[in-house]
Amino acid sequence: MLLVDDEPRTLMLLAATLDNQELYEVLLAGDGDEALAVARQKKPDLVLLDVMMPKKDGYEVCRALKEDTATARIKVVLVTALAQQSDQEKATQARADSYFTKPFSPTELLERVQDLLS
Amino acid sequence: MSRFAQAPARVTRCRSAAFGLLAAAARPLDPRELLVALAGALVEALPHDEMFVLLLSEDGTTLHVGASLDDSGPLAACNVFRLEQCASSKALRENRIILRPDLQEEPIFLTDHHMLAAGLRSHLVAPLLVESERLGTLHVAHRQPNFYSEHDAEYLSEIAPHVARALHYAREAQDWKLQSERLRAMARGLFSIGPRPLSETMAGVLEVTADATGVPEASMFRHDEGSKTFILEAVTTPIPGLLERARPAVIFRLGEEQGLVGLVGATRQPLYVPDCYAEPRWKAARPEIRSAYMVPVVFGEHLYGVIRLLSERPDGISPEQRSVADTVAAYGGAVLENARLYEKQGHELELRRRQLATVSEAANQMVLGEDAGGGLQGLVDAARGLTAARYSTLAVWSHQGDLERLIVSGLTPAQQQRIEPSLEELGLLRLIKDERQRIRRNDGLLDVGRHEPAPDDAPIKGLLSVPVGYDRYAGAFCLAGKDGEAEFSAADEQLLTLFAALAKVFLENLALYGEMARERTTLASIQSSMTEGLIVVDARGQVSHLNEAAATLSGWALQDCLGKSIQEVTRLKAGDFESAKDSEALLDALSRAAKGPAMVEVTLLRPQRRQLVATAFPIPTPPAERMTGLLLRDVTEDREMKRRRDAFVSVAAHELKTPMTTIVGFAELLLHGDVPEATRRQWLEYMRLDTHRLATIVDDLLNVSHIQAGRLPVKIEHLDLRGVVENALTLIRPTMSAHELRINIGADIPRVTTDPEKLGQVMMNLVDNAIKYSPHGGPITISATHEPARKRCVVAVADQGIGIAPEDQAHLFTTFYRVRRPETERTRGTGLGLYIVKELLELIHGEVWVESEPDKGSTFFFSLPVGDPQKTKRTSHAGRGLT
Repeated sequence: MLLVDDEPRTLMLLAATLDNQELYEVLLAGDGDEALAVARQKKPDLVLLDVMMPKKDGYEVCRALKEDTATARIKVVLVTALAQQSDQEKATQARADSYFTKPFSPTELLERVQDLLS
Repeated sequence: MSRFAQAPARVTRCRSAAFGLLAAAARPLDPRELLVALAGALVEALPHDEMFVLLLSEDGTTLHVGASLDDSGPLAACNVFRLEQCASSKALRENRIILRPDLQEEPIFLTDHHMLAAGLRSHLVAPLLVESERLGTLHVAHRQPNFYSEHDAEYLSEIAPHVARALHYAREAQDWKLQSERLRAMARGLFSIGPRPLSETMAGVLEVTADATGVPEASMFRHDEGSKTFILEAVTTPIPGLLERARPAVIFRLGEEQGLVGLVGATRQPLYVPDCYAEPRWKAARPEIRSAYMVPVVFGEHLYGVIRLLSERPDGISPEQRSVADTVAAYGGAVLENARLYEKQGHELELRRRQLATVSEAANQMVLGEDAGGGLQGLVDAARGLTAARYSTLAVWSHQGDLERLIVSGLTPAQQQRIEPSLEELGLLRLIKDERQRIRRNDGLLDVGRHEPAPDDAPIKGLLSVPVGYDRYAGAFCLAGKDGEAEFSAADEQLLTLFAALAKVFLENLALYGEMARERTTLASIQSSMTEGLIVVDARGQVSHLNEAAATLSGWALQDCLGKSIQEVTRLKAGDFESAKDSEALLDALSRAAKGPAMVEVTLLRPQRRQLVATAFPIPTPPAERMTGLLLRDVTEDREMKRRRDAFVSVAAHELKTPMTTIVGFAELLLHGDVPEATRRQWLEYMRLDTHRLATIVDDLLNVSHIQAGRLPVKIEHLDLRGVVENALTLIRPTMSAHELRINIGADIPRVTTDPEKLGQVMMNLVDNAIKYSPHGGPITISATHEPARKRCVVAVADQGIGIAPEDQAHLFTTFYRVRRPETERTRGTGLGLYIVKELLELIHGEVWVESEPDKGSTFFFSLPVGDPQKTKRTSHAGRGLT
């Protein structure tokens, strides 16, 4: 599982949430380019993507993953601070598997991820 | 024994022939034809051994010889009447038959020579007379001497009167024919004289007289009533230049005895002078003239002149010719009377025409518009000119009785001042102004010049005033004073009434134009001061108006659009639109406008990128001229503001939610999970940091809201700049790792007059920005310079970061503005920092500006006042809204 966020403390939170159960192997990336590189190399089951990131934003990374047959099967969950209709539409357009808004409950996030991977 | 007496049968034949001729003569035959017939008949009637010769003449020359002579030619050439002693003359003079038994025994005359030459010896001559008219002589001759006897003479004397009468009738019939032709010619001529000037008509009458009488020379002497003389007016003559030569000399006086023309004029009776040789003067001047006839041309009491006919012929001017001349003169009088009346009427018509032309000229000046061309003055001048008034005025009083307009012609300024008082003194002002009376008096009422008369001014006698029926004002009148003895006539009053009517129209025009112009000016200034663009499209779809704002917004000049259809303009300017959809949408809105306002938003790229809300709406005008308005509102700023606010909301949400996520998330993990102490501490530290971050953002937002509400308290102190700067930076120093902070504030910098808290915030923000926008590290230098002249100190914060593009620099200090560059995407900010800096500096009387070059770095400058804090008054800071 790959967790991507440019905010170190948010990344820490995500890691703490998902790594806590020691159910998943957790990889971390600080920006979009790094995320794509890791995803292509490690082929994680799931990518948890922050939307607002410098360089490549979450939508772009998601689209890149889905367009590449090698990474298309990877489940993508977008995490955003925005909760407007347009953002949700953008997530769907980028063919994200799921969509989360900040702030989130770690418990709920865990449940969603478990659902996606089961 | 005479052969005549012995031959009664021949006599009978001869008689019957003469009577047959007589009958034939009753028909109008040519006298020559008649004579040929008569001579032939007589020769036929007499025995072959006898000769019949008929000699006839009007003027003493032979007209015809009918003869059995082999050669009658020499006889025909004889002018018997010129020879006083010849037989023909004797026969006529004595009215008897002349018997000449043997020519050789007689004194020989020219005729006799010819007869002898022809072998004739015996000769009988009978006179042909009807009453006292001499028609000619009848000659009979024979080759044998002593052939004719007294009996033959008696017989011939019996025939001769019949022959004479036959000839007379024939000639008379011929004269009737001539006369009727003359009368017809006269009538034609007189009727053909149309309404022409008198002198031309006189020449015409004369010409007709000459034509109708057949007299070659005729003259018309015009009667001049003033001088009671007759002046040669016209001459018909074959002699070239006679009139020109004669005219100055030929003047007769009425009743002058020497001049027969004058006599005829005085007596008004025609005068015939059969023998001009009796007039010695005439004989000397014109020896060829034999007779003259003069007839007066009169109509009623009016003597127009005298027509004089002159003839060179010895038998003079015949009674028929004279009668024709009398008739022509009588008709001519009527024709001339007619011409005189016409001429008089023509003068009146001409006068009328000139008056109308003057009025029309004055009216022409009344073009709709301001009275710039002096139209009213022209009117008043024309009124004066046409009525021959010494002066004229047009006065207009308001309902309050104040003189609103006074237009004067022919008065000095001092005299103008006298008009109203003079009218008042005479009690006329009330009549004119209040009762609107029409006044025409010629009793010397109004002489405004009497207080200041010009040396040659005669006293004024007349006054004419006509109301101008103009409702807008209480009274408006045309006045005119007239010179000396001259009085105002009814015609003058009519004219002035006409001018008053014109003045009314003019005044109304002026008032309407004034209203229209005012309305137009108001409308124009409203339109030009509108910030919204307004385009008006007329019923034909053509652009009829484009206000300044519309021209600025669209970049379409009025002269490029006027007269073109809006479709054409849109097509021509298609390149100005961001897309074809925009121009189509605009036209669509215009086409829908008839049903109600239609709104559309379009983006123009030229003259600069602008978003416009265009509202097409119907202008309620009559259907035939249905116009459509197109209102253009520039929403570029609004849309940009909205975009920035949307961006702000999104950034603010992200900025607020990111630390919140951490705080909420770790809190939940701490609550639910069993967490090792070290981890727990770390998580709590994360939560603390993000709480602090949250607080900062909230502070920024609060600052903005306070600034915009104008509720930020200011506490001005006199402070050491370096101290404040150092103090402000203590908070920020621990967060700096890659950057070196250099502070160059020398000891020469005086104390500044400022609010330390605001200054601290400004420093914090600027240094924070310097750090954010120099991601690769590098020194950040804070320096200060003193500008004593401007009583201020300038602080500079310089970095060596990514810099700011020139197009972004202008927007830096506005709300929500964030420079969009890939490098800045990673930086965190609300887009409020520099806005806050600017607003805070304004509160403490400072200014902020920036110098920057992309990829080289930026330097932010701000100024602070230096000097006595008492003198630096805090200016009130007005609240302002976010939008």
